[in-house]
Amino acid sequence: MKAKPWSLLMGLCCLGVILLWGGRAHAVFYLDADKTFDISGQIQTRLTFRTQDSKGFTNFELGFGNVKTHVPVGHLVQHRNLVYLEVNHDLKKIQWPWDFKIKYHILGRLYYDGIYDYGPHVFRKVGDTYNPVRDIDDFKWDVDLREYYVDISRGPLFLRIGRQNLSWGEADVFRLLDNINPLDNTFGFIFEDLNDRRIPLRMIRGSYNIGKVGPISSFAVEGFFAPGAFEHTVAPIPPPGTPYAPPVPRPGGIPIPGSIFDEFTEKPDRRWDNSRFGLRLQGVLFENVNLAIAGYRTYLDDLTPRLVVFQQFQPPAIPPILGLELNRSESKVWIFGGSLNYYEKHIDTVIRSEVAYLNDVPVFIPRINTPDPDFSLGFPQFLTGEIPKRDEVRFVVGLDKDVWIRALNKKNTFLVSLQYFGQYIRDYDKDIKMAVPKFPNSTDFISIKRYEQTITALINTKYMNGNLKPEFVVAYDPRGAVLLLPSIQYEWDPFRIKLQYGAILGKFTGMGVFRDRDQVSLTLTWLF
Amino acid sequence: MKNISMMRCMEVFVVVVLLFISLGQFAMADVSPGEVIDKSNWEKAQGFLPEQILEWVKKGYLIMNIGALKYNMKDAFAPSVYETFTTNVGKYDVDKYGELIDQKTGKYPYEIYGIPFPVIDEKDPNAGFKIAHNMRTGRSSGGHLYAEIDHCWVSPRGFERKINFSYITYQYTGNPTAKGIPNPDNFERTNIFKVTAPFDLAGTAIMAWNYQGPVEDANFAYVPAIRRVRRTSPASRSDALFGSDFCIDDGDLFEGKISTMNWKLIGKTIGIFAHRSEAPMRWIRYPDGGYGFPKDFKNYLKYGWEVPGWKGAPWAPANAVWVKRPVYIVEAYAKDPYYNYGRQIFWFDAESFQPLYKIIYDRAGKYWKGGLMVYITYDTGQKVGDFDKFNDPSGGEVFFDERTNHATVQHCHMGAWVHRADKYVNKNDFTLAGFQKFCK
Repeated sequence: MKAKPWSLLMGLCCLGVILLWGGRAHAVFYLDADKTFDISGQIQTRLTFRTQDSKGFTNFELGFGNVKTHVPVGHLVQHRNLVYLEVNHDLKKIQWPWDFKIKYHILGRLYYDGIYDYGPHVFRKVGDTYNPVRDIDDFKWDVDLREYYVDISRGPLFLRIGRQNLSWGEADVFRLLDNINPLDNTFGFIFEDLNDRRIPLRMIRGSYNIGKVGPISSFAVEGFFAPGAFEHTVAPIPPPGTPYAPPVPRPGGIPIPGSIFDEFTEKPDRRWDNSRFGLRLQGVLFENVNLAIAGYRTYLDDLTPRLVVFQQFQPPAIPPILGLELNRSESKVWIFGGSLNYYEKHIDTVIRSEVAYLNDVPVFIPRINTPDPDFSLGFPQFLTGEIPKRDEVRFVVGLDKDVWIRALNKKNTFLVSLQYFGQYIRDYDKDIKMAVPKFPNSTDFISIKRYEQTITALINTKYMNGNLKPEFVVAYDPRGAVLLLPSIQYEWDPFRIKLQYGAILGKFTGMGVFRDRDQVSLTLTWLF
Repeated sequence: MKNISMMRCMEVFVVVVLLFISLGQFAMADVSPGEVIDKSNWEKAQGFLPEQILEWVKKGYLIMNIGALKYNMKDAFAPSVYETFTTNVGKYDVDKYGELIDQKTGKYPYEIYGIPFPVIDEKDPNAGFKIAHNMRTGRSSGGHLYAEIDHCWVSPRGFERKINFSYITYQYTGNPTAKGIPNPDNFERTNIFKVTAPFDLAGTAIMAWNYQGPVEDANFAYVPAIRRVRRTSPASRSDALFGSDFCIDDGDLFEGKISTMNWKLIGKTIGIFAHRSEAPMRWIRYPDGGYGFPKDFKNYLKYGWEVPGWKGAPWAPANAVWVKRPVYIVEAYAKDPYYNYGRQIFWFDAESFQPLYKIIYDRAGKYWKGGLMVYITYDTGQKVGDFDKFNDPSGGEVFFDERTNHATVQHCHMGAWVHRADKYVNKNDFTLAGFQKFCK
């Protein structure tokens, strides 16, 4: 039986207070004079309010009940409380054989989102509704060892064994080669920092530095292996009715009165042949160009539904038993690609690029995934769908430049970062869609073009001796949607105060799916 | 006739009086061990400090306890390095880029040890470059380094906040213990800064590869928020480090590539600079092979905010001793048009060639901020490599921004030199793969 989240939260807060007073404020707390063993962490609370009426899109019906999830302007949609506790221990005092260096790292996390207990009525009721996707108690709070690993190194060899994050590639905001770890988009999707959404995986990761090979210096080989027999974590799905849940498509668009309808997810089975693994070669060419090529197998985060008919009766006096399967195990893909970055001195800009070829990406074609019932016998006969696959090519070209705008800031540069993303689907079918119904029509889905593109821009700087950090991120889909993410953070040691506004404007396409979820967030963090 | 004579007497009298007053001023401008120089008698330090630093004394920021070094500065070099004061004479020169070259071959030397230019001809137009190269290789002669540093923000009210980071450097040139170690990439040195606190910045790391010859340095940054190593522009070296009053190039007063500046010797004088103590400070040897202060050592260099009752600026060194030393004054301008600094004036110790002061002007030519370094000479009491004492800037450094009336102090409590090339500082750490293991 899990302990109540409040008691754990209070306990960890007390520990944080003790560490703050016992150790040095705004510094690591060392347990030994040699500073090999340290504890640090943070306590954070985040309040998010909806600034846009989400009437309609998130208004849907569930199963037996009729749950309206209309969230008016001004309502609290998130009160996420986080505690991180980190331990690092360098075991250098022990004389390991063969001069190995060993250290370990543990990161514990507690989170609790209180809106399901004391938030708006619409969220307090989510837990009352039959929800086969995920139990709300499991969803609203958790405590776990977020990361734990041992680092072993000797000369050019390095191993990291344990639960960890691993990121390859050069792209920011959206992921191409950076698909090793799944993302948890259930608590804020693109409005949340990418790093906060990564889910660590249990894996063995290693690298070996080969050194200079011809014109390539720092040539190294790196690999990882997340054994499927132990690690089958995939991106979670937000329970319907939660603030960041997309609506779920209906089969054939025909509501079946009284039908028993279940939504369920499939995770990969715990089997060795469901392992994630990969290899990367990297180096620096002609002292200026960072190059890498990689190939790996992983699971994508995207939802790929299909209709499953468990049982149907003829004649249909008894309603059929149907299911909408949100299948993650089908999203096992191979990704091959490469990346580069280099500094171009003539324009004083870092140029980076990445290309990824994704093999067998599950796609949603309604007539295949959720086929219409057959009426040839005079009554509807439902058919189990399939999950079609396509290969995709995704790429990005990015520029990073530190710009002096002395009229605005005499002391710090502005980092300006631009990216252009492209995506091309091979063997394109004009009926490929996003598995998200277009409001108000629940049977019409957002189309995906053969070639899709997105442009992102980021600008940030520092004021007040680094205590004030404004940032502005924008992403633009030329099909008519734009994401805006301005934020400002103030640091007053040991506290951090961050105000962020998140908005998606424009058409119901791509990221425009969540265009009615505009929000403002206030995050207070206490570091210890 | 009588009137003219009277006039002449008066003139002579006035001239003589003025002469005495002038001589009196010069006579007043001197300091002696045991004296304390502060705002009440700042005139005594006139001529021994850059004007801007003298202003700090006048304003009461600095209080200087005058002393004298009880050892010969040249004892702080390894004997093998000290030899090069003779053997390196005429061996090297500087090319049109400002890079160090072998005098005979005209090529960039694969290995450089000791002080490349022990004799400075003040009329040499490249004298400034040569002093700067001496600074670089002279500093490397102590070997590789691992140090833990506090980077502190200090306002007039006192300490504000800090970032802790570890600094690791692998020295290829100037380092006797790196002799014979393969250097196929032709590095001058490689270094890593890794932030260890506070929690939200911990894991941020910067790696720099400094090449010999006119090859652009390569700079990399690991940003925890994106979990990746990212290339950064060399121009970002003049960007304020985490928003502080330092930039990356301000480390040890100048951390950048020598040939990125145009250096010019503009004078030689006697200066006063801060040293932790008059005698070398004792270090012990740690079980892992490194050296440092004993674990219970408390007599660190302290800054004003750490000393109750301190009357000077909170960012000023409070328990340093200020000693007279011969100095070279060198002016530098960045070749990079995007560099944020304009004119920079350095005061270098004329024997150790280490920088003591740095005065920074903005690109419009107006004075902006000043920096000073505090040195420590360590004595391990035993042969390390082939020497036992070394002079190091690990006492700390301060940059004070006159415009914002704000300072940043960088100091390490437990600096540790390491003289076994691969025992503690492993050159594999400075590769792309090795760098990533410092990251979370």
